[in-house]
Amino acid sequence: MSESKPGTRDPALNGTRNIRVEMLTRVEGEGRFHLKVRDGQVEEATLTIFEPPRFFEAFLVGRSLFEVPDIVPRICGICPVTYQMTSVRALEEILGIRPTAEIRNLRRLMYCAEWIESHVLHVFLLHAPDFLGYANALEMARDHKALVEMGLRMKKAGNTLLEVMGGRAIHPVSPRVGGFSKAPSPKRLLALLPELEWGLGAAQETVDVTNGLPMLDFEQPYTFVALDGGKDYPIEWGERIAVTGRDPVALEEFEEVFQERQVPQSPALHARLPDGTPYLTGPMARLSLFPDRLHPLAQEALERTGMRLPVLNPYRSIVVRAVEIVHAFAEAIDLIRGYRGADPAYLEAPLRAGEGRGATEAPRGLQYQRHRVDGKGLILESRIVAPTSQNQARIEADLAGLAPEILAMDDAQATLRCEQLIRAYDPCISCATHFLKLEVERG
Amino acid sequence: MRVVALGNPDRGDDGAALLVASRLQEEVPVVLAGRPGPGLLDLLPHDEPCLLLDVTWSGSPPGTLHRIPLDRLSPATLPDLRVSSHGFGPGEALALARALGRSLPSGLFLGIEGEGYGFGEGLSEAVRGALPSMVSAARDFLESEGA
Repeated sequence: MSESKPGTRDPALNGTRNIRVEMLTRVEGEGRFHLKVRDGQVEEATLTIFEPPRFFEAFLVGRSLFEVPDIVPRICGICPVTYQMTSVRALEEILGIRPTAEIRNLRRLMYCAEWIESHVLHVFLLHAPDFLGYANALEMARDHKALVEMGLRMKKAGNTLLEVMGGRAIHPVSPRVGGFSKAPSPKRLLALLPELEWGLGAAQETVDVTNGLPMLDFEQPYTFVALDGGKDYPIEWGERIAVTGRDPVALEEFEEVFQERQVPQSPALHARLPDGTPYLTGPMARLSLFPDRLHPLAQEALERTGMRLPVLNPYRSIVVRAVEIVHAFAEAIDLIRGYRGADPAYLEAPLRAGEGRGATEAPRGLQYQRHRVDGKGLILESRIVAPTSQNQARIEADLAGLAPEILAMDDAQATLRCEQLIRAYDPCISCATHFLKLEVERG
Repeated sequence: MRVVALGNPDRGDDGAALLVASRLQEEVPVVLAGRPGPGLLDLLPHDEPCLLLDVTWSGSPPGTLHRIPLDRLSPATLPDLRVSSHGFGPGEALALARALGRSLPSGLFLGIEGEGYGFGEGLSEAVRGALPSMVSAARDFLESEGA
């Protein structure tokens, strides 16, 4: 990818032009993008995504609250920890459980593992090919073996940590309401340190590599939204949500402030602020709102990039993710060094009727859950708001902003440019881009 | 011998390979791997034969079995088999290993064609009916390898 040159409009392209990007996968990611331009004006920019959380909300009704942390991670194979832990936070609020510092630290360690896995996969196998001019990771791997091998080894370090923490690498089973069914021994975690220390060095190198990639020049006026984690970088804890230039939002007000509305052009609900402003959650939001809460080693890496804050260029998100990978490795190492075991591994409390809310930061953004249970602990109602659906309106606005540039391109180029922008947000559907299909209607 | 099964038990036919693997669990070591993406490469050893079980979506009649030697598995040998979600299925994982110049695992990919991938457990009639033949095919391979 080279520095962008705003497209000069070809008079022949006047009239109506439809660009449709079809994305299909067998199970999780399913989406479509449709851009309709008439005489140089964007008439419609619609990103349609498939939303598994909605189906799971109905699924949960009538189940015991203790089953929820085992069911919701099945929504996504990439961020099961987020679904699990966000539900646990909401359910613990109902039962009045305040987890111990040891349990909170173990949870944070699990998130570090998930962030490493997810961010590394995205940076090295999904996003980097766009910058280096390859159609996909397979083509890139032939020419950049060392880089890809480094990414795979970093990802494996995250997998191994998650496996030790969660009992298995995919869909962890040890987290439960109140803590962990079994806490790992300090010895097992200490054994992981050498590989995590290697990973930290590799992550610092990744920041430099990604910062050296040729960037498109494309800035947007973002309203960022991220969990306020107190003195810590936003990950697994926080009672309120920070919003660029506005008052913080308490969790109780979440659904009131981050409003999901039906829009005519899409079957999916669109999240916006009450005045209609679309917003962005995820790495750019976290880093822009809380740069001073990064681990000192991640702050050092960030300073080395010379990146201006807030980060308003979505393509730069690859560098931001790299900085967050440094944070995740560095914090994981600190947490393991400080770990002396967790006893008790979980806390219990009598069942009672009530409603609870939880929010945590998935690798790709803020997740919110609300659950309501009866006196026997059976779920009466559940609400799960995933980051990709919150970012959808903002992504559409950005794609509309891209329209003037892509009007002069042929359909293949225009599709690629749209895909690249969508990929910069690491939505769940970004994983599905090998199955893109383009349909063009010319007016 | 290593058996690795992919899929999601909460998405209809996507859980078929996991069910087959669970029936083999008492005979051989089995890894239920979900959808590991490139992490699959860490699950397939190079010093012993592997049996990789998955669900395919190729347009064949539901319940059809696909047998492909592991060292021939790639997006090219499976042009229309969308063998996993997230665009990074076993074909891509092995192609990545090839691109990186890594040695490839030996063994068999055994896939069953699915029909429905809705929410919840439970297989379609066609896939449920074909499950015994997939178990037999898996056992035949294990026997041929002396497992």
